[in-house]
Amino acid sequence: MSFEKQKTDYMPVELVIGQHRGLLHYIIRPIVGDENLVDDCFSAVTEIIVKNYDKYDSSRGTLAAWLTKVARNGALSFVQNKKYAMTAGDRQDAARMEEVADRKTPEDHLIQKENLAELKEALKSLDKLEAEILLRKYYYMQETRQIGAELGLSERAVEGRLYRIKKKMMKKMGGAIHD
Amino acid sequence: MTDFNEIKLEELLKETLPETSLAENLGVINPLGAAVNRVIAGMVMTTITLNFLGLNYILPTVGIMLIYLGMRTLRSGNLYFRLGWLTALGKLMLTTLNLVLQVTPYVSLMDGWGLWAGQAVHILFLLFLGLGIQKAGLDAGMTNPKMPTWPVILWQAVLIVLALTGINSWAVLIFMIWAWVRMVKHIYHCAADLKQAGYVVPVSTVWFSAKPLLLAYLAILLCVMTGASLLVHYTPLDAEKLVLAEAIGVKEETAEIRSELISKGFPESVLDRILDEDLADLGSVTDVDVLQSGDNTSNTERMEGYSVSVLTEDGRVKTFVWFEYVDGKHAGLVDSVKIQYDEDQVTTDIKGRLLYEKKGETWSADVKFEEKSRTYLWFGDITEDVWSISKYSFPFMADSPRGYFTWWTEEKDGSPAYWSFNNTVFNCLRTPLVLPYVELPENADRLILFGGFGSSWGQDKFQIYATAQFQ
Repeated sequence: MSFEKQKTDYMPVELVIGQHRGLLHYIIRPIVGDENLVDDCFSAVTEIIVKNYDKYDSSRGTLAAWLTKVARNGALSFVQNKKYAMTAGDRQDAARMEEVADRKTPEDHLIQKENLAELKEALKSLDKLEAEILLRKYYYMQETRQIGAELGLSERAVEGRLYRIKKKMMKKMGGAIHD
Repeated sequence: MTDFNEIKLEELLKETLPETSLAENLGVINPLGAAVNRVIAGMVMTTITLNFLGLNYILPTVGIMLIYLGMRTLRSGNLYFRLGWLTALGKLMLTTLNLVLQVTPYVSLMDGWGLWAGQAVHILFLLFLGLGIQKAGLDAGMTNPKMPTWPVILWQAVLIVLALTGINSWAVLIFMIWAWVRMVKHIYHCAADLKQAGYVVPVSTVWFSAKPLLLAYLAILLCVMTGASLLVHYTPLDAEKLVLAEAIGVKEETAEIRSELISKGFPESVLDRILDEDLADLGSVTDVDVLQSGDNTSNTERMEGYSVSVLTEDGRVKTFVWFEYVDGKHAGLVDSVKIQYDEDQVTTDIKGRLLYEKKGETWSADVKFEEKSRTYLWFGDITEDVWSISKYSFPFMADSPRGYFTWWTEEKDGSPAYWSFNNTVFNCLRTPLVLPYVELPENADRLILFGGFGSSWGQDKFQIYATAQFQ
C-alpha cells in the first residue's frame, strides 16, 4: 500500500515520522553536511515535528511539504547552534551570539524588504528547471554533485547553469544588491 | 557582475528564498522525479504508433533513449534497477541496429529473431523495473508494496498474442484502446509510488547531461543512417567530358540522317541534343512516330520526355526515349529506368546516354542495362513480361541532367515491323535518407520518407507509355 493511501489527517505523529523518515533524512543530510551529526539533527528535527504537529493545516499544503519546511528550518537551526556552541564556551554565550546575529535595525529590515521585492521579480524570469536548481542549491543546500545526479545533469552542467542563473538574476536586479 | 555582488546575491538567496513562494510553487522536490519522468515518458512514447512524418521511427527511438537515460540515474538504486538499466541499454542497442539495417538491403535481417529478442528484452526491462520499484518501496518502509509493472507486462503479452494469432476486429481495437489508457494511468501510479519511495534510493552521477546526450545520439544515428543510405543507393556514373560542338551535327554521314528525321517529324529540339554516334546506325528512314510527355501517363511535373520511334527501310524500329529534368537541378540520390517491351518482338542493343553540366562543362556517361523477365498467367494464358532496368546517380549539384535511351526492335519472324511499344518508367529516390529501404525500380511505388519523386506525396515515378504505329 502506498503512502498516499496510508496517510490520513489523524495519523499519529510517530507513524508520520516513520513513514517520512527517508524524506526527513534527505532534507537534513545536505544541510548538516557531516554524516556523524545527521542522526543528532534528525532527533532534533523530530522533536520540533512532535511539538508542532498540531499546527499542521492540511488546507495550506501537503503533509510532505510541511515536513520539508520544518526539517529544513530545523536542520538550519541545528547547524547554527552547533556553530555557536563550538565558538562560544557555553550555552549562555551561544544564546547571546544567536541573539546578536539575529538583531536587525529598522534600516536592515527596509533593505531586506527592497531586496526581497527585487528578488521575487527576478525569480519570475527563471524557467522551471532553473528555479529548481536554484532552490536545491540555496534553499535545500544541496551540492552540485547531488543536484546533477538527481536531475540527470553533469556536475559541470549544473555549475554552468548556476552561473547563468545568477547572471540573469543580477541583470534583472539592476546589477547591484542593496547593502 | 563582480565577485562581490555574486557573494551578496548568494547570501541574499539563502536568507530570503524561504520568504518567496518558490518552494511552494515547485512542490516537494524529489530525488527521482526527473529520472522517473524520463522513464515514464519513454514508456508511453514506445507504446504509441503514428504512421506519418516518420513518427513511427522517431517516437519509439526517442522513447527508448529516454528510458535508458532515466534508468541511468537509477542504476545504483538496487540490483533490479541496475539490471533494468542494462536491459534498457540492450533495447537501445537493438533499436539502433534495427534502424541502421532499415536503410540497407538487409532490412529484413532482424525479422524473426530480432523481433523476439526485442520483445524479450522489453519484458525483462519491465520486470526489473517493477521489482526495483517494489524493493525501493520495501526499503522506504512501505507495507506490502506490489510489483507495479504486471499490467504493463500483461499488455505486452496481449500484443504478442494478437500479433501471432492475427485477431483483428473493432471489438479488439476498442478493448486495446481502453486497456492502453488504463495501462498509461497505471504507469503514472507506479511513478508516484517510486517518487514516494525515492528518498531512500541512491542515485548515480553522470558524465553527460541527459538532453545533450539524447540530441547527440539522435544526431549520430541520423548521420550513420544517412551515410548507410547513401552507401547502398548511390550509383556513380563513369562520365567523360564532352564538347557538344564536336559531338552533335558534326559528322557528314549523320547530316543526311538528321535531315531525313526532321522531314519525317522527329522533334528538332530533341534531335539537336542526340549525339552523332547514336544516329550513325540508322539507315534510311521510312517513318517516325512521336509521343510527348503530357500526351500520356506522366506523374510528375519535374520531368519532361519524348518517345520517338523510327522505322527504318529494313523493317526494324529504333526507339529513342528522351528525358530531362525541367527544374535544371536534380538532387536525387539515385535514379532508375525500367523499359518494358512487347514480348512478341525482339529487342536488342539497348543503350543509354546520360548528360549533365558541371562547372560549366558538359559530361556524358553510358549506362548499362540488366534484362529481366517474368512469366505469369493472364486470363488463362501464359504471359511473359520482359524489361530492362538500369540504375544511376547523377553527381551532386549536377546541372541540366538529361539523357536518352535507345534500342532496336524487330519482329520475331523477320517481317517488317508496323508498330512498336514501350512502357518506360523513371523512378527516383530524392532524399539522402530512404527509410525503409527501397529497391529501385521494382518497389518504387512504396511511400518514401519525406516524399518521393513526383510532385505529390507518394508520386515517385515518371512514365511514358508509348505505342508507335507506322504507315
